[in-house]
Amino acid sequence: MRKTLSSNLVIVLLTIGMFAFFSIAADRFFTFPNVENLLVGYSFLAIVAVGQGLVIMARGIDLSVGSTVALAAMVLFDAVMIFEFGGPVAIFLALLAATLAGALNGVLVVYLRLQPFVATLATLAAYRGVVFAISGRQLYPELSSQAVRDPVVRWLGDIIEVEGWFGDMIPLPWIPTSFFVLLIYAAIVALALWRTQWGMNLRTYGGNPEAAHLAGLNTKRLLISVYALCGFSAGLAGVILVGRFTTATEALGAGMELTAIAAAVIGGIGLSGGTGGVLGPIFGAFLLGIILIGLTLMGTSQFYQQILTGAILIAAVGYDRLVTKRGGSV
Amino acid sequence: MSVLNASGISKTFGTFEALKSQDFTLEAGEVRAVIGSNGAGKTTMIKILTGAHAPTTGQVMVDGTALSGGPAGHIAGGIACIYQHSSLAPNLSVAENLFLGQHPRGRFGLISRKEMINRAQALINTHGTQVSPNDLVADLPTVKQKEVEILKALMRSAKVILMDEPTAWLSFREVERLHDTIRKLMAQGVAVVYISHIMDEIFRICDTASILRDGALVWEGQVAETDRAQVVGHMLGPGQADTKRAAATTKAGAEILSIQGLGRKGYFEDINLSLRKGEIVCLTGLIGSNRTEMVRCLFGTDRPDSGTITLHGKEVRISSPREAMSLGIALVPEDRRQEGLFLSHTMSENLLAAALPKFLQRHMLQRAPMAQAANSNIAGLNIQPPDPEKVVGTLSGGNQQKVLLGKWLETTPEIVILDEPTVGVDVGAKNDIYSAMQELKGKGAAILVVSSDVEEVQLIADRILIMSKGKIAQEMAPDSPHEELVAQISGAAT
Repeated sequence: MRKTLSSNLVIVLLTIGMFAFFSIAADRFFTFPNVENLLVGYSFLAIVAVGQGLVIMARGIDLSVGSTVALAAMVLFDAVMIFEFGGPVAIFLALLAATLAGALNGVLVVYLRLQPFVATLATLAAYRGVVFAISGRQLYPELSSQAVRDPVVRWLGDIIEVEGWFGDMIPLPWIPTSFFVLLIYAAIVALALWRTQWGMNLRTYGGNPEAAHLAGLNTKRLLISVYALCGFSAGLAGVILVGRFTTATEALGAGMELTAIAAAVIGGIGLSGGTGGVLGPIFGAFLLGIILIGLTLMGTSQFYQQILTGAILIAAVGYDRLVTKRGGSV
Repeated sequence: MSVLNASGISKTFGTFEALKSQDFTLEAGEVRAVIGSNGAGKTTMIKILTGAHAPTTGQVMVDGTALSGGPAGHIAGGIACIYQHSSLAPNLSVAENLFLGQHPRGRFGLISRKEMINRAQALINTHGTQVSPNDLVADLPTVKQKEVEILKALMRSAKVILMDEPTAWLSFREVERLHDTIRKLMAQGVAVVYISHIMDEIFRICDTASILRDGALVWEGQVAETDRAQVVGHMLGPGQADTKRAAATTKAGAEILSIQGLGRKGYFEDINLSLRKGEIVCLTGLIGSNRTEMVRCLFGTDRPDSGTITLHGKEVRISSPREAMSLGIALVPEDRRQEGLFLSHTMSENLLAAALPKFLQRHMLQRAPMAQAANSNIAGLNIQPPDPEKVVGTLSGGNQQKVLLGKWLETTPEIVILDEPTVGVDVGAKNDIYSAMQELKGKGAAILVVSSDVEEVQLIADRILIMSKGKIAQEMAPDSPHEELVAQISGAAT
């Protein structure tokens, strides 16, 4: 617990520090449109990172999240545009597809005993293939220029007026809906992680799989549920992205696995399992966002930003290894 | 009435009879030693009792109720097992670990932290354990982790607790603490099965003993009515001798290695040590005296900050294991599974791994001499089963250790460092390891053994060095009285 708190503190301070730095260093960083840009652009990544964090806590990894984001988005697009389902039904189907995709990852890991890296590398490709196969924009080319008009879906990509909600403390005119979705989702996952038997079992498994097995836990079901939840998280992000872009593209979410893993690891999810929580990955995602947006405003090229994302990931993993080694824990 | 009643249990794997049909009963408050060489059927019996193996015949009953449903069923039925390796989650608190798998629920089915901590504290209080429910398990010393495991068993109201080599990683004083805990369990009417290779401990803590050999129970009775020689006799079978100190050994020769003022910040300092040809020097002390860290510097795994290492009168710098090997230094590490063996490879591959250049002719490995060398090694070390193609991961602990030793015998190094060579190894295998060390010594090697087992140290050492808190505190002769040696080792820590 103490370790979680201290690593959370580090990431929170780092995020605040970076925010302060770019507010001074980059013009236009500390402006309302830019902060909104940050919240819109990184809330969905934070949701994916929360799911990814759970998988890493259970000593796994999910490389397929980017494809799962696209899968959920495409299912939603098809359901609304081709089958003309209502928003709630369509969103349910999209989340179901993503959850099943995640559960399949879990089945591959648990029953075929594939390495999580290999299993999800395979589904990374396979799910992307499914996205192309079911793409309504390919099947009905006329749909590709049309926007999703369903009000519920549009609402997810919209904003919520908060003028005066916080008094004069935070003078924000509005906050993106996706940020609220993130907050609610994170609160539910945090509750599940810290206050339910499922969460306790997950942390036990992460800390010592043998101990979980010896305590008579159903570790197979546990792992499948964790991968399924990671898929659900990616699906939620996909649904939000459709709301924001009012369409789904086949390439949506490509490469997101890297940023999601980076956000989770920066957020203190130990690669040796069991440590970390929900807050960490969220701050990890926004920290990445602050750095990348800040650098863009300072005029750094896109290519350097990709190098930097990789470098940040390496630094975070290196730090994690260092802490684990020094702690001398199992 | 007996608390545990396992009647007619047996286990057959294919055609191999791992455990022959036998009865095993325990009374409440009894501490029973289960003794046997590796492969005698101990592990099989434990696994049947914990529910990990379903017996081929027979059944396990606790308080008259037959158990079923695998490990979970046996835990619920009142049998708990404390394994050699920790079965706690290091990232969780003590209280969270105590309730693994079944935490107390409060409103809305959520885990009630308050109740969890209160109940954990109550159990800790009744038991007088010095931990807090909020302590992180990773931060606790090993002995306290063992105590937490015992508490965990009690939390499930275990009536029978099996302990597999519970003292393997504990220091003398910690063993005492664990034994005190076991005495408390006795008073509470919990039956304990104490599985250990350390005779000394068995005679101190156990009431009764069951001795297994070749899958059969060969002796059962009161510990007070037998002695060490008899126990070892039953264990090894007719015609096998107990470990004895090798008779008048050859005189030590010229100095090979000399260490002056060696130090590594935070681990050890000012170590002076000399090793001579044909002698065995034992480095003993409490766990945490950083002996392992010291020998790692000699093998180039870690680097010292200060001091010099002189080999054959020339100062050397050892910065990698490769360099150490080329200087004729070999290390048999403490953690054989992690650091020493290629577990998924065969015995012959492991035995010859360090000596491959010897078998090269025109850049090609010569298979025939390799097979011959592997076979002679297996015979010399009495490795069971004597099959060079056997995968090392499937061998028992003692035999794995022999393979590791055999790997270096093949290269005939000048200096052999062994770190806790016989932890978790039975008497028979210990004998084989000791004689291999004598053989190396006879060939003129200088041997440095790190060992916490005082009996062992007295048996094999030509000189004993006691290390404490990163310093060499004292040198003693191997024929010093046992009690004095123990007192010096424990005293060296204060």
